[in-house]
Amino acid sequence: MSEGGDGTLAVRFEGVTKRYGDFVAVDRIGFEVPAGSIFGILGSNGAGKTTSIRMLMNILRPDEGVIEVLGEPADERVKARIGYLPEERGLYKKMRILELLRFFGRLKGRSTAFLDERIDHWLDRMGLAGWRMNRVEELSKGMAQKLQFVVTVVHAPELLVLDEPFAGLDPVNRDVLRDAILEMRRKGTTVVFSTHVMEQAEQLCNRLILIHDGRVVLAGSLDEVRASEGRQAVLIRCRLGEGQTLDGLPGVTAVADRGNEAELTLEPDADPTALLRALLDRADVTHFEVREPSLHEIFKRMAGGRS
Amino acid sequence: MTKIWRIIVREYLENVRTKAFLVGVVLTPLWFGMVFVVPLLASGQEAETQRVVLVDETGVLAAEVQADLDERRTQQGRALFEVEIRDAEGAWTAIGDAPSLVDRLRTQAAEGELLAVLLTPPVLEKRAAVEDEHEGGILHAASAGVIQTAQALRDVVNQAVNRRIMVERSIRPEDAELLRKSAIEAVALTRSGKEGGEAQFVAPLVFMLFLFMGIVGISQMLVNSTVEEKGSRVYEVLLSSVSPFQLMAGKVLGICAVGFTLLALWTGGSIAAASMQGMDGIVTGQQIALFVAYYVLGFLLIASLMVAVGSACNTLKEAQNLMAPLSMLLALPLLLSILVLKNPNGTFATLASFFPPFTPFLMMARVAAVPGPPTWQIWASLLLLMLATYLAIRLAARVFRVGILMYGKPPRLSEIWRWMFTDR
Repeated sequence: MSEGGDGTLAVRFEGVTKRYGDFVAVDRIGFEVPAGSIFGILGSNGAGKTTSIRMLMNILRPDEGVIEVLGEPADERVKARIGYLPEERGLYKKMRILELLRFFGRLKGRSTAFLDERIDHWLDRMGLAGWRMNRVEELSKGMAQKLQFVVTVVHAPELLVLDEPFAGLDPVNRDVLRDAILEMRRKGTTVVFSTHVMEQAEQLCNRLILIHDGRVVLAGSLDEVRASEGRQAVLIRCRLGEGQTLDGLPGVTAVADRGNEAELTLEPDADPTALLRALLDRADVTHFEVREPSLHEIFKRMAGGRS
Repeated sequence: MTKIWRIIVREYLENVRTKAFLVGVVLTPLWFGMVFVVPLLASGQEAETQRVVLVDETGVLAAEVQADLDERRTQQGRALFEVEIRDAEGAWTAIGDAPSLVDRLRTQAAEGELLAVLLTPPVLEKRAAVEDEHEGGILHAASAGVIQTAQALRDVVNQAVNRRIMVERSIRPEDAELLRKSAIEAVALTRSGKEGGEAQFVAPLVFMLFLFMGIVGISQMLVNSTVEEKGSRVYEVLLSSVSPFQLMAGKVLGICAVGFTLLALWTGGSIAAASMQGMDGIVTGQQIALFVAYYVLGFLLIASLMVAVGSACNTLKEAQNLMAPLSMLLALPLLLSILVLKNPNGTFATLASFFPPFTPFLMMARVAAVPGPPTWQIWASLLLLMLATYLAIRLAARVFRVGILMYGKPPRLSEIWRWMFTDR
């Protein structure tokens, strides 16, 4: 728990289960989020990410298990200390932006004076400073997305819970959001976010869990998760010779062809040099990089092996 | 409590600041005014001169009737009737294939070319001596509506005939006038025993209509805003600060306050208007207090059911479909009120007013009628209504917490039913 600085936990799940009728959406999940970390909940669609996050927010109640948030049981009282960006999100369209931000901030128990200072800061930071008297419906989609994030953070939460925060954002806004998340973290806010896009998790998280079919299949820091794989990967860019394929290369267990490049997963004791030699017989190689396997490949293998 | 309060305030302000609200405040009374006042104005305005044909077989009435009708004029002095007297001789006989004069005139009246054909047979002249009271003149006009306009014609002919009878039987005109007048007058009393005038009959209806518009009409507003906000995906953002129950309570109470404002303006306006007409004491303080109680409880009962249904739907159309049975149920009190007001303390009225969804409307109608229901019934109805409202809110809250997070296919009523009775 060293990442948390003082070693306290921001979130703790223990044996948490949620059923819908006969369907088990979340199956005895347990994990711990150290305070001050950026924690990723990863998994494909329908894995149980949103259900877990809604239980964290006390929007759904677990059938079994214990959830603690910021040292308290996850209930209505602790909500004021959390900033939550749900996957299904939107705002009151008819409200003016200043009015809207004050409304949501005061629902979290903050005073108008406290909020106004932060509203100025965040609107400025998001390039919305001139819009405070406009109605939400007058904003472009990108601006509304940024405003949605301001709503989430305007009350200065200790914990930020973001469900698929990057979904539907254009590349520019994705960077704006990432920088804003990092700014929050620098100020000491713990961030929990879910995603099914593994590259985002790789960029941001220092700890993560992988959920598949409602169960945690992998947990730890990014390095731990990669090390637990015990194998390496090779990233290549090449032009294959006539009639040649990437199949049957020595020491390769899996090939992920991504068009312009391919990720090859190696057997635990494979020799990358032998692979390069074999590859040169088949193709003009412009890039050859030995590295740890991407989360994407690890996840695919974990999910594939289980289901 | 502060969270519910903040949601109430937001909901209230958002709805009161709309144009729709202002329109509702002003237009509804205007609409009422139009329904009652326009026909009155129109009756004075509709003053085109209309053709009347008189086929007089008596030979003595024609001149008198014509003179009388000629006196009926608009305020501008234009004649209302243009009377044409036709020779009665042979008026009934058809000549060859051609129809008789009377038949031709009837056709013209039926086609609207004439207002009416008046036929005065010879017996009219000697009416006083004739025993058979069915024998008399005939007025032919196209439709019931015209008959009403033609009422004046009938009166004129009647008067002409009566004058002849009086002369014949030596009755003095003063005596005739005396006999014509009703010897007794019907006067409605207020609760305090004062003469209340006609407004007293109207009070129960007005109270009930106000409640109906305030409860059924305004809770429709709640359904609209629930469905619209669900579509804007704002609910889960709110749930990060408040519980589903707080959200629902805030919304329902906020809109309840909107309806209350509207009713207060209308009721205040009505009482002020009645008092300017010199009709004081029609409404008692107790009635006002009960009006408020029935409004608040009735609104909470019906709005919770509506908001529950609304929360489960994604479009207004879905909501309307799901709510159809509820809407039909809620239209019933208006129909039943006719029966209830005929005998406000009869068995039917008593039973119907104890069915909680009807209680606010029918009980209020009974309370505003004179004599009102026994006090124990008022208290019992309030108690029963409170109980029903409490249950409705509890069940609605269960539907609401599931409903607002459900997107996609709208649930069937059976599914909503299941949510109500699963406590999770």
